[in-house]
Amino acid sequence: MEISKGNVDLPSSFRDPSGFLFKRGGSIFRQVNTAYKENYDHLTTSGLYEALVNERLLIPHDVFHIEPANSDKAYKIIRPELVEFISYPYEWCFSQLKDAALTTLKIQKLALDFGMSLKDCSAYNIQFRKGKPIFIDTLSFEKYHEGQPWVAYRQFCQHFLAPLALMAYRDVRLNQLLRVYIDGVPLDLASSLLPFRSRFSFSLLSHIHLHARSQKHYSGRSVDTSRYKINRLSFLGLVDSLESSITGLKWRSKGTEWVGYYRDTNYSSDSLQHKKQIVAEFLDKLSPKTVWDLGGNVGVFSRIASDKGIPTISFDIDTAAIERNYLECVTKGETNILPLLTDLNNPSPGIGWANEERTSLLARGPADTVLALALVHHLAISNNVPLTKIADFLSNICNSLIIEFVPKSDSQVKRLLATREDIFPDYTQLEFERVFGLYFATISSLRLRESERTIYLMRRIA
Amino acid sequence: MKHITRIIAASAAPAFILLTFRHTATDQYLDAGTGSIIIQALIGGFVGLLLVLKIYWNKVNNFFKNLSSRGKKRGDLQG
Repeated sequence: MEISKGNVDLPSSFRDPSGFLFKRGGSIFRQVNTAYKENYDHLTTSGLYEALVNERLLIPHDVFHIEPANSDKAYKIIRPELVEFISYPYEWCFSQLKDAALTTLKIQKLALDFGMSLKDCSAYNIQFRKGKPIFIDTLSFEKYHEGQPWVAYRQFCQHFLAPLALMAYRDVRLNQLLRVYIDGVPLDLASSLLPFRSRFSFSLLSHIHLHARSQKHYSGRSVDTSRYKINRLSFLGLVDSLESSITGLKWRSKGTEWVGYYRDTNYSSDSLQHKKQIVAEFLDKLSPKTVWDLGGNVGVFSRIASDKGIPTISFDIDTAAIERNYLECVTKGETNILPLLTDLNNPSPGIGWANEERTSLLARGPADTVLALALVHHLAISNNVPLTKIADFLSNICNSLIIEFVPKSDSQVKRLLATREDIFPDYTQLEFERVFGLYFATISSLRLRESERTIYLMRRIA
Repeated sequence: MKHITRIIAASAAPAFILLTFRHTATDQYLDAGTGSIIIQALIGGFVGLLLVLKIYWNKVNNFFKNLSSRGKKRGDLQG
């Protein structure tokens, strides 16, 4: 295969001396360094790679005979199958993070059967692909030697157990700590935030509270760790204890403003049906490659796109809505829809080293089509975002737009204005059309039956 | 069974581990993961034992389940 030489190292994989990711000719490759040769060969010849790929736990890859990005260190160049959309743990709901954690432990148990172990347990090594969590870092496996401790234990506790325990025991919004702490929630912080009753769970007591205490106790002391051996049974016990602990953590939404949205709105069933029909017709006109549904709630309209086979991301600010959406995906075995948590007033920024390790939401776009249904009034009225800024933002993240305008006379807008002064004289349909006309060309617009709302199909002006 | 092991675990492990924290050694440079390695060594034996108990408990459980399902099948045939 002929591939051009110009390549760019990806800023997400510079820490590991085993290899790194680079982009060349529109494809993403991973260089396996000679330092990782023995482990890579064991992974592929022991049967572990095949077992993991067969169980859809590890991203499959092909070996490519092309010029390496760094020939001094190169052993092999592999090309992993592409993950359509990279998402991050702070964009996942409780069950997504829980499933990612259990997948990681399942991989670790399988790896031990083949004489290997995970050398890192970063939540960023898991991605959601075709509705299921999958491990994407082929170079995270190392040969297991009897007696060695689990080097990734601390990382697993920080990336998975601590945030899940905080979400289950304290507040589900504490997953946002992962956005601040790129290497997972520090265990001393988790320990201080967790309620006293969490100490009555042996696994949380040992893996978080005593673990944090041990870290503090030995911090700055010089200790010969080589004399601390962990036999295979203890190692398996540790993994099993973490698995039981994660499985036992539960979070149930008590119902939020958004989860009951369709029940509480003034939509008649005819109007809702009409809206679905319009969205479906507009999508058929566009045949987009990807769809982002902004403010997608529990995914009612996202599913119109995903059911047509279009890879769809259903974004919402409400954790309970994303949780319900994700659980529906799992129950129905849906493969084209990915629910993700995002606050459009503060979307995921670029974080990590040089703000490049984990990219911003905008950098992961643009989507082919954006659905912005019953969204603009929330941005414009609840959050004082001028219509020009909304139009400008949307024009940066999509090529075409299906957008709904909800006028001030609508009961939803009246509700938003009930508790505040109306300082939005420009929030009119005429002004909306004028402002959006600066960025988009309107292809079609339809008035929703039994409603004063209008849905527009727009294409971005090049 | 699960309940009893939980109570034993929650009460015995902390005392054992807190006592061990008093012991220190000074041989080698330590990295940030030292506390994590030591806690693994401290709880390792205990969680290993819990795993063995769990495996045997499951075996005993399955044995009686199989026994009762066989009995039921036999009953079905006789009935």
